[in-house]
Amino acid sequence: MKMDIVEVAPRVVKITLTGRLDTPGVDGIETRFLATLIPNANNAIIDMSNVDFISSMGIRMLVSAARSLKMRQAALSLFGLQDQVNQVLELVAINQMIHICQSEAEAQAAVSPSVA
Amino acid sequence: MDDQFFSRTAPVDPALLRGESAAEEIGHYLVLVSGDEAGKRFQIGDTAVTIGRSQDQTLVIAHTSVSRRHARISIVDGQVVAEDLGSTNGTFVNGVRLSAPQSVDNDCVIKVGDQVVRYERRSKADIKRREELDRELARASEYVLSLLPAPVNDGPVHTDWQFVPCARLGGDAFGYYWLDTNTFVLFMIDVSGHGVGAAMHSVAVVDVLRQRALPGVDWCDPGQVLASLNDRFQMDRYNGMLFTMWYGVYDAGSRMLSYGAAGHHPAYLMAPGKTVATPLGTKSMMLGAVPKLTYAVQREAVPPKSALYLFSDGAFEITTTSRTSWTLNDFVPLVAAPSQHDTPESERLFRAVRQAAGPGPLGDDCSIVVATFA
Repeated sequence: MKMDIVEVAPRVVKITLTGRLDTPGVDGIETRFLATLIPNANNAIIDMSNVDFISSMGIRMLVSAARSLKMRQAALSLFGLQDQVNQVLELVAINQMIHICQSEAEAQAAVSPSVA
Repeated sequence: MDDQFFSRTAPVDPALLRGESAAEEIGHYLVLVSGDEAGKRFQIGDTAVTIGRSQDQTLVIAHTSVSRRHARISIVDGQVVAEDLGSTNGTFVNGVRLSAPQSVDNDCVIKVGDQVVRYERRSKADIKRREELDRELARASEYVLSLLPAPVNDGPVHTDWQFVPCARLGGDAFGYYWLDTNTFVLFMIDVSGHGVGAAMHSVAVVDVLRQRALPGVDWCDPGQVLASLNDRFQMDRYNGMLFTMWYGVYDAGSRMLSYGAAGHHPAYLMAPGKTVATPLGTKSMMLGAVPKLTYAVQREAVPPKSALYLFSDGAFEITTTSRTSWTLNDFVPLVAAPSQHDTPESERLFRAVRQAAGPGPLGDDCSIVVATFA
């Protein structure tokens, strides 16, 4: 599992995941993934277009991050989901706590702090 | 200058270059990857290990693809060497058939006929730790197994099941019981993650269900049961653990099945005369993620002689022998396939999964429960 991180706006990072989000994949990135987001309460958009499989461990990682971010008034959104991954995330109704978006722009708008 | 050079130069132990401390005692091991004894480890000592089907071999693999005397693994000048002994189906090291003795590297795969073993070079302390962990996992696995209900062969609902824990032990558990003379409850749990922690979390949930320890909950209402479990097992109090669950209640009088699912894929109902199984699922959040959720309940009529198939994701999240990954859609057609005389349905399905996955242990617990309604 590969993970690339760039800051795309103040307090908004984009994380691009590549590979299978299964147990070995999660083991390889979870610490860095959570360390990137949680301590700084960064909003995050996750590019899932190169993730072709997600297991319950992958779901757990996303849910843990979203839950911790919510307590810090930050949020998580996903975009670019492949059909199979989308079906799995629909089954667990993950949209109840994570924004599922069609495009990167939509994902960024979903988590960006509103402009007064 | 030569004297100075040599005074500052010391022979280097190759083991140190491999990151092994001088104090660590290294052992060479063969680990069975395929077959019923997958995971079993044999030490390669001063005497060569011979592999074959014949009982007088050091490592006996009773498989038709293995010759009576098939291959030899020995240590030559500290290096492990594999050699084919004129077998019919050949010996392969990392996919290449041996035509002469060949040295093997750590973690390389040796194929003997159709059977697979792996060579491991490990410190003996590591092996001891791993064996202790394996014993802990085996004890936890036996504990989970002891909590599973016996198959039921009489009355209006018959059951059979398969529970095959993976090497690292997943978090599968299931159960069923008569709530009263008319009401049959059936459920399956799958905790995210592996190891003793995940298994013990599933045991804790099963225990709550067995003890009916959710105050004020109507056990005939899947929505209430799921919502109450969700509040009781919030992940921040349980080391970040989440679990999926399918919970169904069958009323034998009305022949109606009420069910709810929390992050769990559907169960499937197969009625006589049908060629396609009916999915019984609802799209809802896994348990433990968000407090105060509500869970939808659906109802389905159960025709006589129908069968309900309930299974964990370990039954379909497999990598096949052709290296493709299965999904739920690959498993579901098996449910509608013809049953086999004298073979319980759960066993028929598990054999099909096992055949598709090929040799070697499965990556996750595989649980399959089949309930047949009179």
